[in-house]
Amino acid sequence: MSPSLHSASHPTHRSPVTRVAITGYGSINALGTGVERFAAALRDGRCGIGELTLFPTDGFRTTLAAEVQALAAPASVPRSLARGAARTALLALIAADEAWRMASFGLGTEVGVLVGTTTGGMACGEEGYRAEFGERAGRAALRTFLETPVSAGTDLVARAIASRGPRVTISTACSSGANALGLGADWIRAGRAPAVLCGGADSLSRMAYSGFNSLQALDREPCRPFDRRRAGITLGEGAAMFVLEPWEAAVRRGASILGELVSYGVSTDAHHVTQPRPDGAGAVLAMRRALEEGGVPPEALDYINAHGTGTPQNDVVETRAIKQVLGAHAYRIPVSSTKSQVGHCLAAGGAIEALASLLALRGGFVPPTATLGEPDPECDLDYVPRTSRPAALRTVLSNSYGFGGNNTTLVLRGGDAL
Amino acid sequence: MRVPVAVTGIGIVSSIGIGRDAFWSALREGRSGIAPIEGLARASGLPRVTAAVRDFAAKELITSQQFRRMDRLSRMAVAASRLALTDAGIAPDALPGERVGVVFGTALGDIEDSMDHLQRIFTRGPAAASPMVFPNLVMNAAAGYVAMEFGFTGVNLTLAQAEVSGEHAVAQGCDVVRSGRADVVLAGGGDQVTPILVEGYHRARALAGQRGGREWASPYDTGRTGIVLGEGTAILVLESVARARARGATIYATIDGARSFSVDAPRYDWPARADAALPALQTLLDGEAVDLLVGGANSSRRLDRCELALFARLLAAPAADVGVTSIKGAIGEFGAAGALTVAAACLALREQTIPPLCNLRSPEPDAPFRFCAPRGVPARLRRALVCGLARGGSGVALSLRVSS
Repeated sequence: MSPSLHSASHPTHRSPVTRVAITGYGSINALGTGVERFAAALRDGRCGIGELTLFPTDGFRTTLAAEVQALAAPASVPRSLARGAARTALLALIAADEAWRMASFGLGTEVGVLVGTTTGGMACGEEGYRAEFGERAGRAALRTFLETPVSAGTDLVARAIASRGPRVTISTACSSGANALGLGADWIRAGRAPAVLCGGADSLSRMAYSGFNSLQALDREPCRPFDRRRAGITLGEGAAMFVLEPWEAAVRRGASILGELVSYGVSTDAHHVTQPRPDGAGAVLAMRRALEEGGVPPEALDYINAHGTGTPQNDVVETRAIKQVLGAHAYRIPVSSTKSQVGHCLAAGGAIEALASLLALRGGFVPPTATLGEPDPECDLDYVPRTSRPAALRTVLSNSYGFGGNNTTLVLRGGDAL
Repeated sequence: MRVPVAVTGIGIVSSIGIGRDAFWSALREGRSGIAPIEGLARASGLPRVTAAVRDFAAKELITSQQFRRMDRLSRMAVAASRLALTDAGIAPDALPGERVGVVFGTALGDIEDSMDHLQRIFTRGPAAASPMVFPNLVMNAAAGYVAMEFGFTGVNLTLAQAEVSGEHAVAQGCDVVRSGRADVVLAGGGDQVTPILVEGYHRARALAGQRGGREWASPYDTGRTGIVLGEGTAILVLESVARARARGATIYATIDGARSFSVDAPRYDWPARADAALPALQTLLDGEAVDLLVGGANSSRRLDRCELALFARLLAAPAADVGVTSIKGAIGEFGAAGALTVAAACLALREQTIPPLCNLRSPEPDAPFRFCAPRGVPARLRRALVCGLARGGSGVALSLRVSS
């Protein structure tokens, strides 16, 4: 049957009183380690895309990536945890450590943990696999095999805060990080935990790089979302983690409230495993659901952080969808893709972009589409080319779309709306 | 807030049968899917059995044009989904697509294509990667193909949490129904078994017979020696009790609560003790009696012992009447086996029969429970608890009740 295009109206049964506060966040990506570095780089419009050094690039169409430079856990992360962790798990741990310390929540015993990831231990799994083919097998391969499950990072973060609470790993491709935030907010509203530590993490791997290469989805130039010459994505890596709490409880304990996760909406294209529905119906449904659940009229939006991968298809389909949902308002607000600065971080993307949105709200600026040079007539919105600009933002939207057709939209509030 | 969610359809692709009826018959009769591995050369010391799904007529259950692209796990998931919808008496076309949710749990996803992809790029170079194979490597490929098969455009979530992936997916599926974001949810999960997985567990010395003794799985048995890997998929149709009653659906059981928790455990092994789970389980039981505990015992020395100790602590009084069982002796161990475990618990309540333990000769002493073997035993069952524990310490428990 053809998927329905009708409205997202339906009764929701979530707790009517619980707003979800963000009381801590942590960051690591190609622009650096730590939230403040990320905020400064966003405002400066710096591009973290460069030459890939993590593994050889022979045979690939491009040699570009947004790679985390000199990955190392800070002193605050116990060595016993960091040692032996797969790259993705380590990224998650570093971001989680910053978020957790920032929140100053206290005991982690009952805190929930949700991590969105696609690669999990895949980089390690790769080393193990290479060991199978004539190099060393044995104990080294055993360790890498054990680290391969995608849940390895979630277990590591939970161990870091000594959590005995609920814990789960979300793996919905490039919407995983956003889904982790949405689900984390649901857990808060349902009273499953007094706080949740949630977000997304993914690392560069031969597996993903060669896969996207085979799809001819990698641009030979740094990705150029919404640009007329755009030709694909640039892969990146990183993590963003958040501490969510019920609003009232956060206020009561004197926590700094950094933002609000107002609502989220999800949908599925049910169309193709890699290509989005050309009419954007899935993206429209996710945005409408997010806005309806949050009680936010489209005209109240100040900014959209787009999925904006830089592929010919995504950017035009997403533009179409934004216009359908916002109508004339689509032309009045900025829409930018921070993938122009940190690349496409797969599962981490939705979380990293939520963080970028929160930092924009906090700092009163709109991050640019840093690599946008030539406008595309089919993409005619204000994508904030090249440089950031000051703006008093209060309510923003962040989109993430993944293989398998998973669409997730987050509504975030901050600035003087807090 | 314990809002019960109805289970109205069950679809199964397993090593002991395809479809709810075949699955339950085999379970009740104590049949096991453990069999010699076909086509695997017997290198010395390597295990020789798994509980693998025999070829089944996937083409008869899958209409999508994407069929040829689908990996084996996705085919199992789509087939099980169709079986579940048919079992529930639901015509997919009759549902508004955006009002149907899919929540799928898988620990490792499509291993076969992952290994194929890695083999290509490591032995032939990056250019050998196939654009047809790579997209199936995302963990949510199966859930995506389910959506494509039926045009379900609503909530679509994939969870991956090691050996509790299936339980998590069902618990989360219930939450989706309660949230009102979907009217019907297909919830469950699946995982594959492949030679490289067998090799890996062999290296971890986790498999039955590696240190001598029996090579098959016998949960809770004193002579158990280790696990046997299996594969399969289970999909449950979930909806509100009101909706199920309004359309006259058969309700296998209701799920009236779930808890996710963690206990201390080594990074790569099951916990030795799971007492830290007691508060969560006690909250779930809420002071009321339980008639059947369906655990995740998989014939490992460690997990089975841990579970029995936990269950003994959980029940306040001697529990000779409380049935304790696990279906891993029948279906083997795999990440999303918990989805089949929940299905078995629903069927046990519906059929008022305690599923038996496979290969049970000498149950652990000091375990004051009712173990049934070799066949299922009729019993008055009002309430069941499903409990799963994963390596690394995460756990999920679900409370199920017979439908009145």
